[in-house]
Amino acid sequence: MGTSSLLDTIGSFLVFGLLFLIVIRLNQSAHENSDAYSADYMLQRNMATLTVMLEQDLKRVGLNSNATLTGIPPIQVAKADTFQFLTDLSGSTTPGAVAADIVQWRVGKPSEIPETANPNDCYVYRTVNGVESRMNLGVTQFSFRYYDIMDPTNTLAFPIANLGNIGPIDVTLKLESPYQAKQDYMMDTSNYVMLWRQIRSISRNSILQTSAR
Amino acid sequence: MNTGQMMLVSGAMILLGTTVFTVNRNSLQQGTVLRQTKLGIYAASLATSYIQKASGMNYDEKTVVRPPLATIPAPATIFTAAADLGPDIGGKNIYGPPEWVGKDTSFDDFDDYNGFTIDTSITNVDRFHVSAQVYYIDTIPPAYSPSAVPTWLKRMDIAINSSVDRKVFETSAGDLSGKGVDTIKLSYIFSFY
Repeated sequence: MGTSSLLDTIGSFLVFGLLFLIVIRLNQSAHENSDAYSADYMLQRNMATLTVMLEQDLKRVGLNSNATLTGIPPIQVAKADTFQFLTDLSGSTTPGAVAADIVQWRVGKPSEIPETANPNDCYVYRTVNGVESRMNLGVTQFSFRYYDIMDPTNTLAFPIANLGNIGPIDVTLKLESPYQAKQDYMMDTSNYVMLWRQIRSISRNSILQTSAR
Repeated sequence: MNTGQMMLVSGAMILLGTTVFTVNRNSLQQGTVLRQTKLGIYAASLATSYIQKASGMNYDEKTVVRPPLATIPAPATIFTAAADLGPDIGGKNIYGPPEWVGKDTSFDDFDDYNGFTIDTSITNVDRFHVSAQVYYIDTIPPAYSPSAVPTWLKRMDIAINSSVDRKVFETSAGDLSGKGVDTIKLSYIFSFY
């Protein structure tokens, strides 16, 4: 084997090595991006699912609970992490025609989900007439704020003495992926693993019934 | 290397380069789409919040203090004229987190949002431009056409634009092909009762 052939062989190995490294890096990057995008997609899907359920429930606070006759405010529990109210899930349009359902939303503790890498995610519980449903959607913040029905500029301090004073309800949600994708880019969390959303709902049933008390 | 070998190497490099660019482009496009859908969720949330705020107010400025009525009057006799819908002077403040408080702090009825515009930011997300229109509509379904005279129904159209740079969609000729505007539009019908 002459010197020329030897140089050709060495050169070929070098080129092959460089190309191989490029392909390996490309593959790794594609996998990283795929993981990050999958996590982002799941995050958005979870957020959409959760907010649709919340909106469906919150717009029905007090529906057919017959509060004007019973004098019982439709909102039964109003804490920062728990909200329980009377409603009618049957969809009946006849006030007082059916027994009221009791719906409760609350958030659990981060320690309840030790399996995930994220130390802050919690279960969200939706309880209907004592039957509890547990959801693991990557919720890291789930809190309620309640505004005074007579002065919506003011939030009501906890504990709320008169639940009939509750007007608008402010729900704050924050969801995170169960693990951190692309940890080297975690300075920009908005693009990869965190999502924040706030919903403000006003139940006209609640307002009407409370105003009539 | 002889000419044949050089051609083989060149061909391999072209194939590899094409593959790298394709993978990179697909990845970036996927990220862009996800970013846009995420912004859409935020925009829908923002629009819903303004609709919720507006729907918690009175139907009309003239019915904030509602006099007892013996009979049901014609809407034109008790509501603001269609041409005069818009913010009025005075009124109460409206609730809201600090980042969303804007020019609607003095609104007290639904149609105050007619002509309402505001630029608002959500931290770590984007800036959004909000605009709203409120007008009377006929009470006849399914058209619910705009009405030039007061009726029992008002409709709010709210549009949210995000300020994300859309140049990624721009063609070499500078044509955005309808992709230059990212707007969420929601409508809400509010009735007097």
